[in-house]
Amino acid sequence: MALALSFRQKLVAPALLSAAVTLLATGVLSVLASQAADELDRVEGTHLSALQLAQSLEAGLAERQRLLQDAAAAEDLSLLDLADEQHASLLAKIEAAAGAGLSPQRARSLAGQLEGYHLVSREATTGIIQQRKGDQQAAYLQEMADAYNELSDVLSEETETAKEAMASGFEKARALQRRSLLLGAVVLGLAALGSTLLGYAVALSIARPVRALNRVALRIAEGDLTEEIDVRGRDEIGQLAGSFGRMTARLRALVATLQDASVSLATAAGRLSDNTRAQVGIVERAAAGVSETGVTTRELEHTASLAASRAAAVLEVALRAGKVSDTGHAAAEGSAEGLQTIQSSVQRIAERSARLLEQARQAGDVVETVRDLAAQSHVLSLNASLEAVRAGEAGKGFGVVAAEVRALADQSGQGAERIARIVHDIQNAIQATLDQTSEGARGVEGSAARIRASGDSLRDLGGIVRETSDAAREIAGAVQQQSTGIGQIASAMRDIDAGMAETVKRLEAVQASADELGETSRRIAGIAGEFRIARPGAKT
Amino acid sequence: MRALLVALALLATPAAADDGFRVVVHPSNMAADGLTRTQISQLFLKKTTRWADGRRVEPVEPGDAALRDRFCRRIHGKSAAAVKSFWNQQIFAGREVPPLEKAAEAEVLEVVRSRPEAIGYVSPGAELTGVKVVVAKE
Repeated sequence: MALALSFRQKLVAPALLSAAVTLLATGVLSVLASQAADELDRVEGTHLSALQLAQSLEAGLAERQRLLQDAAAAEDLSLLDLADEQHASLLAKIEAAAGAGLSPQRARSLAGQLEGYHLVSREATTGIIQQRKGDQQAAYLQEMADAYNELSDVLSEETETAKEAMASGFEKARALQRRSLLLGAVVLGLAALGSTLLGYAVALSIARPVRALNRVALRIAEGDLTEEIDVRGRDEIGQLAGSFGRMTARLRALVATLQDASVSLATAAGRLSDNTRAQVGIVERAAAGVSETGVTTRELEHTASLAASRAAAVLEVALRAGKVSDTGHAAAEGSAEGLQTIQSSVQRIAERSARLLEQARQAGDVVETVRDLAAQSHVLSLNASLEAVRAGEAGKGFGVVAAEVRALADQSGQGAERIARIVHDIQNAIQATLDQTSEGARGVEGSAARIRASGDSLRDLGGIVRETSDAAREIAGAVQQQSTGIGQIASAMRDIDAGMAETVKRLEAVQASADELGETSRRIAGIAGEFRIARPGAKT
Repeated sequence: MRALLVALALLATPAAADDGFRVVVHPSNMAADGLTRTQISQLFLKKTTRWADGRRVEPVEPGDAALRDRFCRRIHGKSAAAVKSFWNQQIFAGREVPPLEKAAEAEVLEVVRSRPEAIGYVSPGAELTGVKVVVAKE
């Protein structure tokens, strides 16, 4: 039947029905509208021009009455010519309208009436101007009034007739319009009703399987995946039902998997939680160890800095010792050189002493000679004195000289004797000096050797001290490096400490997450458990 | 008899003597009794077209210009020229024609005597036998 249509065809059918009916209605309505337009054209072509003529004539009549009144008021017969001209133009208007909007008979009768009125009004006005009295004038006046009123009535009747004709034309057009409106309304109403009914039928054919689907969907929402869908059809709803069935089957499989997975997940979460807890313990212990190591490192750092300062002190001392040994060595070198100078001086003294000794010996020889001469002089003086005594008085002066010479010889002998002793003393002294000098030279020789030996010792000592100070410097450097290293270790330990704290925090977060995971897996298990995937009593 | 009537009339209308005209109606016309000046004006301007008993009013005027002017000034409160202009307007509007105009007072009186629905006016010296004089109330 019709419901075997596809979803889209079902939805389009009411709209198509409406469109077809509306198209039909539009055709009928356009015919009616063209009739109304014809009627309106008639109104415009015939009745409107008749109305316009009648109104124009009415206005002309009034104008004519005014012209006559002007003539009467001015009491001027010549002004009646204007009225005559106006009368002629009114007649011309009627002439022109005859055949178009005014029947020829009507035109003739109107022209006759107008002519009659013209004559009587002209006569009456002339009477007024000429101040005629009496029954004749009264009769003219009355006749004029009657003619005027009659003509006026005729014209207004004409106007009325034209108006009525127009009104009836409009009424006809309106009736056509109303008919169109009614017809349109009826047709559209029928179309609306038809499409509503058709739409309802379509909606029902769509809604029934959709309701069935919804029922199943609600069951699924409640967690019952066991429901089978009993909707057949080739349309989209039927396809949807098939898809729904496949989806339900897939959901069943999914829920089963989910249930298994949630159990595994809960177990894993529990294990994870335990492991994490254990790990937290380990890490906390490690952290304690690290903290202790940190303390130790700080002590070590202190010790290292102490060692560094000691090493620096040692280095200082060693440097000083080196300097001292260098100074000692230089001093020994200086002493050795001084001794050598002394030695050469002593040598020269010894040589000079030897020469002095020789000269002293020569001086002793001279003194001996002098002594001999003195002794000989003495002997000669004695001889001379003896001769002087023999020579008596002549010889007495000689005797005095001889005595003086002997005294001189004695004194010279004594002087020589003293000089010999002095020379001898000098010789002895020189000899002693010579002896002492050679002895001193020997002593200086020994001292120089000893000093040289001690200078060498000092040089050796300086070398040792330098080596020592180098070693001390190396020690200081090493200690410095060690101190730096220990500082780095301490810093690293602090970092490790902080890292451990962070790790503990993270592990605690992991712990919390693991707990949460456990809770979540329990919830998932709970949710998965809410789904029924097998009929009660059926085997899974 | 006539003298007596005149005397009576004079006694009855001491103010009318000064107007210089007499408003007259048919002796049988009871509706004309006690008319005010305004009502008389309305009758002659054909603004009132029926008597109280329903008959058509037939005003008639004399041709004497001086008398007309006196009447117009006294009754309508305007000049005869203004009244004439009014009538011209009425004529050419097709509304109404002016009252019947008789050249001689005798003709006026003849009309009033012969027609019960007529009303006219004449000079005080006119022969007033067979008509009833209407005295306007203020």
